[in-house]
Amino acid sequence: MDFEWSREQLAIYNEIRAFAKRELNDNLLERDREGKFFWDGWKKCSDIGILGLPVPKEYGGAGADILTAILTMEALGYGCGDNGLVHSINSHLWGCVIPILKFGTDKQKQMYLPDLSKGEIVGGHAVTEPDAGSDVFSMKSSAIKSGKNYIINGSKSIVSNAPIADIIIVFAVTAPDKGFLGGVSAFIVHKNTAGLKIGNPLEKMGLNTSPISELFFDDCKIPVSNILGSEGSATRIFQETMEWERSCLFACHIGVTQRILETCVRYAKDRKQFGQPIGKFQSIANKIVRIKMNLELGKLMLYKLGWLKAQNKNVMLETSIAKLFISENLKSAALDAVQIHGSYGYMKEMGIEKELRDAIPATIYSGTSEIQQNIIARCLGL
Amino acid sequence: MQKKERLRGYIFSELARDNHSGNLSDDDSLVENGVIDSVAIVQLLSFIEDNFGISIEDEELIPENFETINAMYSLIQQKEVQGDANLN
Repeated sequence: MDFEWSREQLAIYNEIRAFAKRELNDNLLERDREGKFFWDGWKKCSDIGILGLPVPKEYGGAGADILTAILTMEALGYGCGDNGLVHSINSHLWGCVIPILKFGTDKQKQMYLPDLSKGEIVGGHAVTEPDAGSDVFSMKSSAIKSGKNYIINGSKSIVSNAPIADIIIVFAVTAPDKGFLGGVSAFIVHKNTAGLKIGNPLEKMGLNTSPISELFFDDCKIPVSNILGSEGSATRIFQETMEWERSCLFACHIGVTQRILETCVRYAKDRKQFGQPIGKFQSIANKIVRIKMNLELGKLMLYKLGWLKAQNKNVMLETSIAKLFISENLKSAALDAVQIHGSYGYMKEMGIEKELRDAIPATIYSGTSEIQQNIIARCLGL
Repeated sequence: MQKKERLRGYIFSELARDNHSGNLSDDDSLVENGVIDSVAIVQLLSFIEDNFGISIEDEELIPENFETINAMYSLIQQKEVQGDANLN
């Protein structure tokens, strides 16, 4: 069993890590406080090729395979302290770029992928509704075919990137009697489409630089040519989106956990109490040991998942295990980091509490921890 | 018929809850009886594609093809015939 990354992959990792540390950490706390999206950072990520990471070069992307994408996102997560920017980049890539790449017509790919890859248009993904979160296929937003258009009515909640997105992949019911078996379709919707209202940005506990809002559809006309895949193919589109998101977004979380670990080790060595570094006390050291152990285990599961997906294997089980494990450990690592840093960890100035606020939704989005456990149980035949 | 039994065996040992196998016929709705949901359908598709060597197109993912065991078996047979026809 070969655990080595290729020289090229490691070079990309080192380049992105250095780039992110150097270019993406200015005025972090200020932007977090003001809830400002980091447009300069977005542009820099575009220039270095991150925004078109999995897109083939013929469409202006970097042509990264899944494992290279995972390693690249791990580097980005590690180097970039703006977790909100990282979250928005992930929403753009796995929620919008991947669905168009995997299910779009040649015309749709030509129309959207080059500009998405350059970051000149921002992508979003709208599936959740006020009464359809974990039970996503109980959604009510409808898309009724009328001549050369579909008419969408309904609303979507918690849409990442909605306030800044140029196009959004919107899921709506096209055949209510069919449910998840061919009853839901996906559409490419432009932000200025008549009948679409984008709500005001919602205030959140964390990820303050990643804007989120609701969408409201009132007889919103979408050309038939904007359907993604065939009518009723949303189950497959959603599943594909989740597999990429649950691997690559959580690759970023591996990077963040690494950063948190290094912060804790540094502090535990520097901070002295009772005449010695606090890292010499087992109650502190053991917390850091646990972060390290879970970080390494999370990496193994994630890399295995990437390898399986590269072999076109069914990865539903592994995706859920990786997502569950990595997200829960990010959250506990961030909480431990606050505790290890004591009162200073609680103060905004050090930036540790921001890591915790940003980490908390990791066990909620992309399918809650409860849902991941359900999926794993189902895969075990329980 | 062996293939149908394999399909049935997979569904009721891996996907079904409360061990419906004694109660449901090959014509009973697996969706209405809670055997298949949006999670199970993904597992089922993967099983069918891997074990029967066929590829299910997006437009084939409809109740008519997946509601019952007989419907799924018909689809599998139909795809196998198409696959043989393409080879010839």
